[in-house]
Order: sequence, then structure tokens, then C-alpha cells
Amino acid sequence: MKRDVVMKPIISEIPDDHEQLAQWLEPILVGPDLRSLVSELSAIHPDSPINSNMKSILGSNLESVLQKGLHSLDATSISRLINEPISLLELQERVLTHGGTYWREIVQRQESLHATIERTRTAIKEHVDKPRVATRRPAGRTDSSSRRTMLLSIAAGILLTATVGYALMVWSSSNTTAVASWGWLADDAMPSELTPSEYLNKLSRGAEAWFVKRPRDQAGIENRINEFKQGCEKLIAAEHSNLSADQQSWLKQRLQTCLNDVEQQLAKFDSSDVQPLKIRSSVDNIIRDVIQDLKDQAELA
Amino acid sequence: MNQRQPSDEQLGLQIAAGEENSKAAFFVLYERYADISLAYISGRVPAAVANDLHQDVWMRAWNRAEKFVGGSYKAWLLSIAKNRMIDFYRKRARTKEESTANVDSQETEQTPLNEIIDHELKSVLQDCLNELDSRSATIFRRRLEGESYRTICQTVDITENAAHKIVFNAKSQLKDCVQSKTE
Repeated sequence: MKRDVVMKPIISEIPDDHEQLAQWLEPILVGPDLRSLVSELSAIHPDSPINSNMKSILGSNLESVLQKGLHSLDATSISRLINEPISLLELQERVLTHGGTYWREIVQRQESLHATIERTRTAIKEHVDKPRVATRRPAGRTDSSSRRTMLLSIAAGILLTATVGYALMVWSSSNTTAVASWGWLADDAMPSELTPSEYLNKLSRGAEAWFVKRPRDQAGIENRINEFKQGCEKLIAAEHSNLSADQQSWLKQRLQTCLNDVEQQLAKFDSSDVQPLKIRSSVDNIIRDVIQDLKDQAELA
Repeated sequence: MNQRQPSDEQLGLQIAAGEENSKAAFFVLYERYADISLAYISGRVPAAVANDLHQDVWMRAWNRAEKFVGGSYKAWLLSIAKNRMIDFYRKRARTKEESTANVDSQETEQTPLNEIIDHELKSVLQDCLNELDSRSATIFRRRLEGESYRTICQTVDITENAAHKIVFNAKSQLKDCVQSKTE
């Protein structure tokens, strides 16, 4: 099989000493060789799962991996990642989306990316100088023709959103769903004009929205939990500029704990004897706790 | 008092609103996340398309800037990248389907994550693994699975030194074999 570039298998460089595996794997995980590594490992382990088991492999160590890297894992967990290579793809996404400074520095050291970054910068500089093709919200009254156009655009937008949402749902190994807009996902979930106390109370009310809809079937419950999880991730990533540094730090830590707990419940959907209502009830308790903590913190603020 | 750097979200919303300094804001975000977005893309698609996709993602981020409604700009950007990669693999699968029409393919049931795998490379490596003698292949696999040399040697009846040598040779053989098959 002739290729444009002669291949040099990455696994031929895998360290024999398992203590060095983490150090070897980290730059590959966030670099251009990841696809090759996953492909090679799939050849060696042809019976490995085709879906990611990243969450069950890392378990409660995920947060520590995101902040401190793979060194925080024991040799068995690293070996499992190597033996179930599809999990590396999910881990890559997690690390790039939620990883801390540790991973950021590893990405910055990827010299092979620098030339492309320069080239893209030049290309987009030319691009942004052209008028933007974005659609702007029409102002003032509209005549019937432009209203029709607007309705068609909205219909097309809904179709596009549904398509993209479906694509994301299919793609994502973590079974995330189309964009929802309740609770913490609502557009007005984080108003910047509130005092710290009002803001924390507002967040607690956002969490209470969880109890508004009570699906009973597995798909509905899983979907609802995934939506809550998305809201949690949104809050963790947000700035919360109306809170003090200490309050922000407390909030993010509390939300991270909540997210970890929710993810543990989501992982239970993978088990053979899944009990959706029991999972829902556990998530109820997790959310009740976070609501109470937010209210307590609001009183202190 | 030190002036605080605008947050990603502030910059994203500035661009979304089409404010006068949108371009400058956009390039601040580019400096912050070009490496992350490229790392994400280049780890998941063939090298030949990674650069174009990366450029496309940032152009979309500019063209559709008004779609950013707050939250994590990085997550929003990576979701654009994810969608572009989904499109890429879908188009590729469609082309493959058309070129193998009426051919019974076992690959149509692959999951999206599985589609990222470079099946040509996988097949080359499988051929090369088959060329290793069975004892070397077994020891090499078991070592990759995390078994210690001591455990392996207990079942294969060789010394640890010999096992080290077998793993070393297996790696060299695989390297030579893959290189020769892709030359």
C-alpha cells in the first residue's frame, strides 16, 4: 500500500518502561499523531471496544487528569487507555475542552502546529477584511415579503439546528443531546447586573428547573441529565464577573463536584441492569444538595 | 490599577454584536485558541485535510459570529470544529459508498469515533503483526497490555533478558515492515 508519506509506526517508540508511558502519551494525545496511534493500537487490539470507555477507565480520576495530566493515573489505567484506544479520542476532546494549564503548555510545545497556525492567521486576515456574510436580525417593521423570507430563514434555521443537533448527538460518545434552553442553559441564566447574593439565588432557581419535567423512560431521563450536565459545564466555563474571586472559586469547585457526581450517574446507563428511575432519584439528590449550597452561599454573600 | 484582559466571552460577544473592534477581538481569540483548535482537528483527521479544515473552522467562527450567545468561546469553537469533522467523514463515507456500490461492506455499521481510524494504516500494521513469529507477537501484545516481564516469562518459559530482546526486536521489525509497505 503506497502512501504519500512513508509511515513510521508510533508504537515502535512506545516506552518499554510503564513508568514512562504517561510522559510519552501526553504530547501524542494533544498532537497530530493521535489518529495514527489510535489506528495502530486498534490493529494490535482488534477486539477492543468500538465505543469509548474513557469515563469508566478514569472514574473519579478524570478531574485530576484534566488538571495534572496522565501522571496522576496508575499504570493499570494507562494500560487500559492503550488497550481501548477509542477512549483516547474522547480523552483528547475532554483535555482540550476542559484541561487546565498543564495541558495548555503541552499543546503550546507542539512545534508541528506552528506553521499551520501562521498560515491560517494570514488566510483569515484576508478573509475578515471582506464584508461578513452573516445574517443580521432585521430591524423595525417588515413588509409581508421580507416577513416571508424571515419565516423561511427561521424554518431553515430550525432545520439546520435540528440537523446539527442530531449530528452532535450521533457523534458524541457521551450521548449529549441537542441544545436545550432550560435551567442553567437558558439565555438569561447568568445576568451580570445582579448582586452576588441575587446571582447565587438566581443560579439556585436555575437548578430547580430540573424538577419541572419528570421523564420516566430511560431515553428521556438520560437526555434530561445530559442537558443538566451541559448547563453545569456552561456555568463552570463562564466568568461570573459579579462574584468576588473567592465566591467564583467556591462556585466552580462546587459545580465541578456536582458535574462529577452527575457524570457518575450517567455512567450507570452503560450497565446491563440499568434502573433509570433510581438514577433519576440519585440526580434529584445531587441537585437538591447543590441548590441548598447555593442558597446558603447566597445568604453569606 | 491593572487593566484586566477581556474574557473570551466578552470578546466573543463583542464580535457577535459586530462592534467596531471586532476584528481585533477575533484575533485575540485566535491567538488564544488556534493551537487548541488545530490540535483537536489534526489529531482526528488525515494530515492532508487538517490545515484546510482548521482554516475553515476559523472562517466559520467569523462568518457566524452572531451565533455566539455567551458561555465558553472555546467550547463553541470546538463544536464548530466537531461539526466540520462530522461533515468531512460523512462526505468521505458517501464517496466510499458510491465507489463500492453493490458491494457488501462490513464498514457501514461503524460508529463515528471508529471512522476516525486510519483503516489503511491499521491494515498495514495487522499484516506486519502477522509477519512476526507467533511467540514474538504474543509477548509484544502482552507487554502492551501492561503485563510485567516477570509474569510473561513465567508462562512463556524464557528469561527476562530474552523477553526484553524479543520486544525490542518486534518493535524494530514492525517499524521496518510498515516503512517498506508504505514506501
